[in-house]
Amino acid sequence: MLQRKISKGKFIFAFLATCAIFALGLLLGLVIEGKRINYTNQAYQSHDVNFISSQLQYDYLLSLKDQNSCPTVYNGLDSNLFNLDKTREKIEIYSQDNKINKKEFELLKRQYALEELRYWFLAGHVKEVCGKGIVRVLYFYSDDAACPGCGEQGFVLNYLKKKFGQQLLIFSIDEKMNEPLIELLKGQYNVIKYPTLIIEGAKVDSDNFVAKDDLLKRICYYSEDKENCAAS
Amino acid sequence: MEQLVEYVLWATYFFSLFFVIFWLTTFITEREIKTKKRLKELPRVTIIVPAYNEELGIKDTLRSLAGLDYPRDKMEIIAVNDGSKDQTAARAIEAVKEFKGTDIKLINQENKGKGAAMNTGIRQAKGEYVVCMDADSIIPDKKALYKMLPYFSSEDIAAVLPCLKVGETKNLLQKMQRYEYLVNMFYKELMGRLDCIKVTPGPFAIYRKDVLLKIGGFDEVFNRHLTEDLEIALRLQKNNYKIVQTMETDVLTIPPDSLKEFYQQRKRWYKGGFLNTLRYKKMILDKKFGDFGLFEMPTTLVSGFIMIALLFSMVYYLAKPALQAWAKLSSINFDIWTLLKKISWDISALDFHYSLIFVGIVMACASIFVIKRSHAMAKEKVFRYGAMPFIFYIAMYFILLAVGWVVIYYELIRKKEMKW
Repeated sequence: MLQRKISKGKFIFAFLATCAIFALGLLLGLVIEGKRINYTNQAYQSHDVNFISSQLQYDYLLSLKDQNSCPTVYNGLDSNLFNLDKTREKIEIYSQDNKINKKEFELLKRQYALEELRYWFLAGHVKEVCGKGIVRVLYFYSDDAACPGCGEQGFVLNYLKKKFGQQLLIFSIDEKMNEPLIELLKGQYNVIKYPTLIIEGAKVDSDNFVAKDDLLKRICYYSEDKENCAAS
Repeated sequence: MEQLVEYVLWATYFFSLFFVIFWLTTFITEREIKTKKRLKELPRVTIIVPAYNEELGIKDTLRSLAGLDYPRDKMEIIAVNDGSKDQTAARAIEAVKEFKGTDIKLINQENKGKGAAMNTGIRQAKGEYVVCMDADSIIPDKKALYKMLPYFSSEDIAAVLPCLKVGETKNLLQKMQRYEYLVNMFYKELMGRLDCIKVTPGPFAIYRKDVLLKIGGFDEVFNRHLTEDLEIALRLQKNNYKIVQTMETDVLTIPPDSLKEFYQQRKRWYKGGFLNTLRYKKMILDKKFGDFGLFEMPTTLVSGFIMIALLFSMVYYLAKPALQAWAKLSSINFDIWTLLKKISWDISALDFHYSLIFVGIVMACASIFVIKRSHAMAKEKVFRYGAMPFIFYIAMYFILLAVGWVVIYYELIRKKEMKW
């Protein structure tokens, strides 16, 4: 009769080798997480300098009342905000993948949310000096569970941003952020469901999300962009 | 939901990688210890060809058997027509007349299933060894019996199996199955080293007749429409007999050339595998059966779940973004031109999911190694039919198999019966 054997050694080796490969994979993930945090921290320093630059440009406008410089200042604001948004979107993705450094990512998200709000305030001040020229949209979003329409809303906003260029400035705020200033703004505009858009101080909310054509009309109410607003 | 899918996917990766490493460890550490005995006197052999509606293939099968190089007085062929509704019997009679020098008998019986057809043949067999030969297969190696019989080197060896390959292929589906057959042969060869072979496929499996009679022959009831070749292997394992997989002799089989036939066959195989494993559930994790009980039996049970988990994870990860993209594009009336006009790429090295990529690369390397080794072992070329079937096999084939598993579980739940 056949003498059976148990390959205990092979089972243990295969199990340990599998664990080792997975551990290596996880280690690699941790190294990448660390690199991501470093990258976003460095990027934040750069965004901070950019903000100082925009702030000084505003001070210049305010002191000299030189309205001819408005397009340049708007251009700088738009470009800085574009870069800030790109990094913020990356942080959102990194934060979803993140397994260990939750606190660091929460702090980074908070820093970037505050940076968005700083730009929002600054853009408001610049607009007071320059008059019309830009439309500011404050966009409160949440996660998929709390805001099923946020994916589409963000996409429509990006699409309109591509159409309007620097004349449309979008400031995206994660409502889940544990930040007193965000709570203050939510209270001020009575933001209770998501997505909610604040266009030049006027609240726009809907059951799911604000459709493209509706949003276009509302933006065009404040905009001087004849090309994009001709049909609306 | 996302979290759950992620956990399932990682668990699937873990088990898959564990199995592959276990195989490779077996490949590296277990030396081949197959011994052959010198045949002082050639034994008498009976080749049984069970056939049900095989009018297209039976004559070629009998022709290839008649062409075997083995003394005519030591070899008999018994074709068992299991109540075919087509011209199988007529084709077999033609073969009997055509190959007069060979002892070919035809037995007609009511349709009772393949196991019963085999048992009819065994009862009539005069040989010490019986060979099961499916009526859709051919054996190109004329010396096959001379090469395989010496592997019955000890009394505990109950069956010797040839290397089952795919013959001429007509379409992509058959070309993909060719890879699967060769990888399966490699796997069976490795499992043979651990006495873990769980199936003795129909084409040219040689059995010791006295062992078959001792354990009660082929199952006629439970596996009437399923997998009698799998059940007999499990019963041999349960009775602690050894099954030897050889790579010296090739048998060519014709795999299904349409998806309908493919799924019919897979349903039979997988359902039979699953139900027979459950039937012999007492062997699962029983140390008495060594690696077979601790590794092979549980693997048979979980393999279907792994396939289905992979399929659902893939559907989830592909379908979710696809639906989201559709919803987003419809929200801008599909004005893709505006998006493309002002597209900005911002991809950095940090954006990739390196843990997944790393494990994926390890698994891909292991898979490529297994495919290369299995082809080398069977003396076949990996790119015999070009790169396309290989790419499809790697990327798509598991989807076909997983869909088969989904259908089987559905039918098991609905308690639907199978026919062969």
